Amino acid sequence: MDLDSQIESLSKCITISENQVRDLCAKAREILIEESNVQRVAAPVTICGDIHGQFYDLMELFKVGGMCPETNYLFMGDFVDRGFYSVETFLLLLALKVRYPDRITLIRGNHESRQITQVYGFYDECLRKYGSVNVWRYCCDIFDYLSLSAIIDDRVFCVHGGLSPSINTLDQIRIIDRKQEVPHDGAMCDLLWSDPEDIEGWGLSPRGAGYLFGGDIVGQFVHANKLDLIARAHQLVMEGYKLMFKDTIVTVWSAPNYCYRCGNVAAILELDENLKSNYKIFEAAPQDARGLPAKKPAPEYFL
Amino acid sequence: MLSHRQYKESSKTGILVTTQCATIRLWTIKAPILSAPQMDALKAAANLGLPFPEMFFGFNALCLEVEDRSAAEASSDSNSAAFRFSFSAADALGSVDCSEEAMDAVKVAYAKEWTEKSEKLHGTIKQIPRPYDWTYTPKEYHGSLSGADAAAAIPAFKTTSSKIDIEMLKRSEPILFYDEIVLYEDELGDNGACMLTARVRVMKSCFLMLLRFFLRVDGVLFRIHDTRVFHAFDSRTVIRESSRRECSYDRVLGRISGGAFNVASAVSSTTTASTTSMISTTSTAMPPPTMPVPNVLTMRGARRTGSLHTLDRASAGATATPGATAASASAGVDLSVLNKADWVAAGMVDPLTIEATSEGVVVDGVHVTVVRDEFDF
Repeated sequence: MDLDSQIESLSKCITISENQVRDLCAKAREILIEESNVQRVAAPVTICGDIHGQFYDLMELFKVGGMCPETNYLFMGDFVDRGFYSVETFLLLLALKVRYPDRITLIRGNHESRQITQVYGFYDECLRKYGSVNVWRYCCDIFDYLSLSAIIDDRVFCVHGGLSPSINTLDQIRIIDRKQEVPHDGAMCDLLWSDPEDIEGWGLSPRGAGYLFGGDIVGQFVHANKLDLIARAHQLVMEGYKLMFKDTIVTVWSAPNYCYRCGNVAAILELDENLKSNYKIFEAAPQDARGLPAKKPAPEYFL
Repeated sequence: MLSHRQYKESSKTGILVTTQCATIRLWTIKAPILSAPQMDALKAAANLGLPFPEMFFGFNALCLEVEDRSAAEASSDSNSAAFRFSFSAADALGSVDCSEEAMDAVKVAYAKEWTEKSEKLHGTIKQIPRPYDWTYTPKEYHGSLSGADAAAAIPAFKTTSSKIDIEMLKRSEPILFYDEIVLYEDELGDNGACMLTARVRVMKSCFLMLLRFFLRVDGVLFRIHDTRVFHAFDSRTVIRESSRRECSYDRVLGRISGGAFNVASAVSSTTTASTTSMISTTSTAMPPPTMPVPNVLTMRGARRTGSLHTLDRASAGATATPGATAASASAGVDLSVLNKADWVAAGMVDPLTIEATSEGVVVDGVHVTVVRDEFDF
């Protein structure tokens, strides 16, 4: 079975075989290993946020944004967990990456991790759909090769979470050894986990780990690296996207009706060849398209 | 009950029950999470001092309205005898503690070393400006009781020794109305989860409402706060039972290794294996120093879900070598069951069966408090 027919199959939400996954991951590895920690991308390109295994909503995204390779895509991580179709979602994106390496860029989110996927669903889904954890293991090995960030035409910086107090310049990101499980502290961790917040300077999360960064930090980073905009994902936004700090940073969220119950819309950010931005909003796939049972919960004799 | 009728009006779904002495309505309100302008409006109106949970279903509620028919007939104002009891997202969030102490009461598993490293690298970084309990635990929120209108007399709860009639609830009486709603939910930055939900079931003889707050902080603890409201239709009493249960993360994790989770398939695919005695030690949090994969020790989750690796090796049973530990460690364990509040709750002492104890007792590793009160209408 060749790559095109695998893509065709995955586009219908039909999984490919374990051996095909293994081979696909091996090919993907060869491509990803060459990519920089700050992968260069040329405009025009469409930037997408979290997908979280919501396969049929990803199909809505392609309907709104155009199919790959006609449209160039940059996905900012969190392909897996939470939704029912993490396997099909990630493998489709990965197959597109192997088929059209210059047309689609995948960067790593904090859910592309062995530890996180064990708790939040992807591990469980692999075990259910394949009867073993081999597919999960192949995918986790590929997660370690995903790039950490991207830069579009030297002006728009894209990262899953946000900034790090250890990082002032893009060159400092370039020297990180990324081929590992996401560490629980340090620059690589911060890039995947931190959040912007209405504060001055750096702040510490009330949970006792993780950074928050204010508008002045974003201002300095944008200035030092001659950027127009930072695009990031990681946080649910009811409106699909949220600009902050005088439009220097934007959160893009691409999982509509998150977890099949939030009722939020999703967004993608289209940058044309002049980096002019256009946000496109889209809604979740209709219930009947998803093959899900009706929403009414089954009566339960809870105590 | 004399009669009942289900109804639906836009976002409300409910049931109207007529009994000998009262007209009772139970309904849920289901709406999407709040938009930014809606959050701003609520923040101002309710004077909320904390950031909203990631998923805040601000309009959602489970409501009970009781109208005493005898009183209503005696009164010229037909509403005057009615009162309303509800579990509401906004009220619950309003009860979350915004003190320093509450914010510092629980920290993620690797907070200490994370903060120390951060201080070494970047100096002291201040906490966020306004403290709040980031676990979003509702403090003493057991529902809101009000008059259906301003003139209504509001009944008062008083402490009781009566219990909810479990036998009645165990009967396989057909459920006439059932619903469940999420009031809010937060992923705690992927350090666990908290979720506040409400459920209701109505049978011919009685109803039960359950407000449940479920908290998991990975590697640290589980917490379940329940408020149950029960009424038998042949009585004039509404009984409320509020319980709090909390135990260590490892206690619940132990239940997975205790057979609730089948790791056979995960293990069978790992590499060669032979006996080693250290594998059977089940409570060491860290993998042995022989772990050949260098980054495993510094993984974000390796510390917070500390005993996971051990569990994994233990599940490999009598047939693993130190050389095989890396393979089995990366094979992992399906921890998704830890997201299921009912499963976690079922592994703890059942508050319905124990005597009220506001001081709290420890039963089988679970700290539990139970308070019961009731009112008559």
